[in-house]
Amino acid sequence: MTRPCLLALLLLSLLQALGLHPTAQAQAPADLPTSQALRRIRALGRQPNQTGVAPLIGALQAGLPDRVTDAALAALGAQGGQQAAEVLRSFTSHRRSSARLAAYTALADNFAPRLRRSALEAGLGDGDPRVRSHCATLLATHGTAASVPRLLSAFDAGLDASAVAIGQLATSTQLEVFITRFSKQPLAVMLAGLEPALTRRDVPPATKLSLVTAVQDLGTASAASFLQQLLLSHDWSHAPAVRTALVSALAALPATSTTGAVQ
Amino acid sequence: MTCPRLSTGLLGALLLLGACATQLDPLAGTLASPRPDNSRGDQAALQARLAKTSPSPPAPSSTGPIIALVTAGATPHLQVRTLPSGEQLWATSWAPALRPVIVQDLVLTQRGDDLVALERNSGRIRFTYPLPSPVIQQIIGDATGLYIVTQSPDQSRTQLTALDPKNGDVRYHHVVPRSLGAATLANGLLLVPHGGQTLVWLDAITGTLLGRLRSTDDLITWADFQAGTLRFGDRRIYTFEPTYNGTSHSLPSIEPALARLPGSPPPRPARGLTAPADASAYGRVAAQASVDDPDWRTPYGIFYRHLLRLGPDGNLQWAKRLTTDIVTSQPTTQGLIVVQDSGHIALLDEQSGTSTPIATLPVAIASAQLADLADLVELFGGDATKPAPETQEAANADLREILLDPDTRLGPSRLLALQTLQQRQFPALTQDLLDLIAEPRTPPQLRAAATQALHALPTAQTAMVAAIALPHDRTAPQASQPIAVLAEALATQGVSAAVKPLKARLFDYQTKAEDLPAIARALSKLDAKAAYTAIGDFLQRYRADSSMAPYPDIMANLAQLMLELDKNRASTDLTQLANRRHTLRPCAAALQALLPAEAPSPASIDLAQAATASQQADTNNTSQQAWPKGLRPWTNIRATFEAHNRDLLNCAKSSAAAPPFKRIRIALVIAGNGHTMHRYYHPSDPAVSRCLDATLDSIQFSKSRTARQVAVYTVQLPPPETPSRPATPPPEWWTAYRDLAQAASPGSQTGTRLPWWQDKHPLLPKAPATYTSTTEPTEAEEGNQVRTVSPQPPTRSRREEPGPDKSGTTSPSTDAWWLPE
Repeated sequence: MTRPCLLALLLLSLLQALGLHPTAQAQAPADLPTSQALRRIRALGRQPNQTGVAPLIGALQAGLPDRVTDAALAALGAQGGQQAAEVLRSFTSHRRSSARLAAYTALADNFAPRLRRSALEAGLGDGDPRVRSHCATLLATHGTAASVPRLLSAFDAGLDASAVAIGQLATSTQLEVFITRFSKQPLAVMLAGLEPALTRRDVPPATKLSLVTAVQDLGTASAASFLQQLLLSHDWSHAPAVRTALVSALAALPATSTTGAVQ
Repeated sequence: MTCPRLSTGLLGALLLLGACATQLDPLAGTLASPRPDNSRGDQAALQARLAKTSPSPPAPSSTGPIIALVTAGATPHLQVRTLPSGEQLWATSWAPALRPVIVQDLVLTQRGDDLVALERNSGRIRFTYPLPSPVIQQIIGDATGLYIVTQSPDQSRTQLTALDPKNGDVRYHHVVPRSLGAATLANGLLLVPHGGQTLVWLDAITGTLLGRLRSTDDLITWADFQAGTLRFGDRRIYTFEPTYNGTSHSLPSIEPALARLPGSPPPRPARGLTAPADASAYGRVAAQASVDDPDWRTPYGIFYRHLLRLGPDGNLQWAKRLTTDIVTSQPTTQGLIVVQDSGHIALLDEQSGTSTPIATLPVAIASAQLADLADLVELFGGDATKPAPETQEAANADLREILLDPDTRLGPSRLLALQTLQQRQFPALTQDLLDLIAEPRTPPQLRAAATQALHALPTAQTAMVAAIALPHDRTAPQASQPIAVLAEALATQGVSAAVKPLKARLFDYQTKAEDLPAIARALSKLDAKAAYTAIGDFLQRYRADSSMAPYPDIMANLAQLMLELDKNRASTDLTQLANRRHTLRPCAAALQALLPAEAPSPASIDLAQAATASQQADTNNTSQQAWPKGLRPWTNIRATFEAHNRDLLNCAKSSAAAPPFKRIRIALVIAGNGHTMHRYYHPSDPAVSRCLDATLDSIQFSKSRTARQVAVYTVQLPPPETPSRPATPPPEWWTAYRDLAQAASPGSQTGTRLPWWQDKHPLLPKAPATYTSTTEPTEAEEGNQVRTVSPQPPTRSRREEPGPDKSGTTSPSTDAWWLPE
């Protein structure tokens, strides 16, 4: 066999291995071996102008192995578009929780805020706690204050991850509602939600002061530890009143074992 | 000669001994004295005696209303308390073995093998009586006598013993080989049901048998005398009149509607059941009639903690759920007094069932008896305190409480509540039914009734659609819905509005896999086209997904439904689905088993192999038509199957299904080492599957480099043996002769022949060999025939006819006279 022929064969083999072989390109991902299907799916996800949406939806509808399905959902999310959103919404009721997780994750990108919000809020009621927590985390990043009532009800139902989202999204009024849960919810979870609220720039100082007072009123070592850590780990130059309140609260609370100078 | 004499002597001696033994026990008697049954004279005497007003017995020194009870707990003991104060009069330190019985001024119970009679007011033991048997069936009595019925432990005989209540002296006793029913006392007579169909009456003091009533067509297991009227019977209540001739229609009778009550209790405890001191169903499952309702028109039903009352129309008038079980109850003129095992005593109004508390005793009660309640009724049941009748809403709320009672013992009363609410078209019944069906602890009969009610409930459609469309939300806890039942009910009622929510449920991850076929089936009934699409989409989506891998049967069920909806289209679709790359092997095997292909196409094997290989190298990209390299040739696989075909066929015989299978399709995966896995059989019969599993375990296919390979094989079963045609009745012995005569008749060709029996031509001497009539003639008859018809000397009989030609033709014998020589 001549050298050009050998080179051509080698090239073809390489393309085939990379999923770029013309035959592989023509085949649907559902009919490709797993590794090739994955490469093809990722390639489709990178296609411009949402041209990958149709083949991705086709592949998802044709049925794929777990890994490929999850990758296809992510790719579909990357493509975006109304059609993709509908398919992703339908996969939020998939029987496999990792597929639902992938669908919610995909919905958090590239979609209209209203659609994203409604989908992620629905995810707070998912049957799998991992999915619920993930949706709360996604809402913390992608949500708005409009999601806080739903987050609060999820929080009351035991979804701890929603505390952080509430802290990140809640308005002053909503935060006042949130701190009424102090006596009902685990302290650590409540404090995890208060930290982002206290460090947010858009929360008025008056609200922050009332939050600090609420923590101070607990009068426990855990509360003191939390306030001390909060004081030390953030720059309070933009909110001197809050800093002062923190220092006063710490002085009023029992000493904690943690060391650190209060500036 | 001496033996018969000796036997006679021995027999006489034994009889004498028996007579002496009877003489030795002057108190012994029997109820089987030769007294005529249903004697008019005896009945007239009985009627006269019943009508006579007997002098009232001297009143005992009463302490007013009392309760004698046995406490529940580790150390039970007998207590007597006054009512309504609940003050304890006395208590024993020992545990009684029998539920206490109050007779006049005595409280009777059992301690070990003795009957103990305690003074009602003081608790002092007046006497003890060593029981002939520790099994007491009944104790009744009045001021003049106590009557105890005991049964031998082996139940071979029953003894009725009459005691003097003053000192416990035995007046007489009757031993009978059969059972005695619940007896009663009436004006100095003791009336005892005997043997199931007889009622005997004795002089209560002397024990002399005075008469017998014997029913020829019904049971007599209890007797009761109240207000000058004697009633007896079993399920049917007869009122005695002196015209009884043994037939049920000779007396006025009623059959109370007690069969509707939970537990179907009889009007009276039938055979004087032994009532243990500890907690038992005695008293907890019972029927009671008001004092002023001797005909049981409006009976009470007690079923543990449920108390019900039927109206005159046989329907529930009211129903109450109490907090704890009812230990005992007693009807009064104002209602029913009930004693609960928690110690609460209350009077329930007969019209409304409204409860008026009487007392709360500070003890838990295992068994109890009330006595002398007249004062209580006056105190608590007066007209001034009469509650207003219940509204329909309140009555329905009571029934609903009973229906939703989580106590699993109470299925029958809950069922009655369900039927009544259904009859009343209770508006909130749909949701209650759904809750009942979804509750895993609901008794099966109740669940079945609830399901049936749901199917029949026309007002349930909206609620059912709403229930099936309810989104799952973990943050808002809600009862899980019985999706399969709902789907079936919606399909039965043809609710087209359910199509959309059913489709959503099909794809909902919280729908149990087991419910998917029911949903798909309901969808197919409501909208076949939408169902086909939805099921197809579902199978596509999950064909390669691990979440449905444990449920190949479910996938097969869904695929089967597609085939039922559109066989041709589904065959194509499912073949593609099964043969497509990545389809999970169990799923592919299940689908292959449904499809009519005899052997897997090379493509399917290629895909199966490729699916395996994809985990390793993903390099196989062979042609669709070429047989893939490294796979076992199908011929080899088939040869292996065929070598064991007989065993596989035998497995089909283990099917309990009817009609039997025509074929069994086996789909499986052959591993590289030649063992099989992921087997799937269609049709799926548990017995056949077990047998096939065992058989396939023993089959070793050839080894192959290929890790796994799908194979499908169909075991064609032989057609079931058609029942052989019923043997045609053998021809009469003369038919052969008739045929021969007709064939031989010269006029047979011209059509002018005479009837064969008028034909003058002699019959053939030789009967055809097929002559097998079971009514064949005897040797003598045969010989006669031969002799009569044959011009030739009689030859051997037909049975002796040798030669191979037994096939039976009607061709004439060669020695027929009209044939040419």
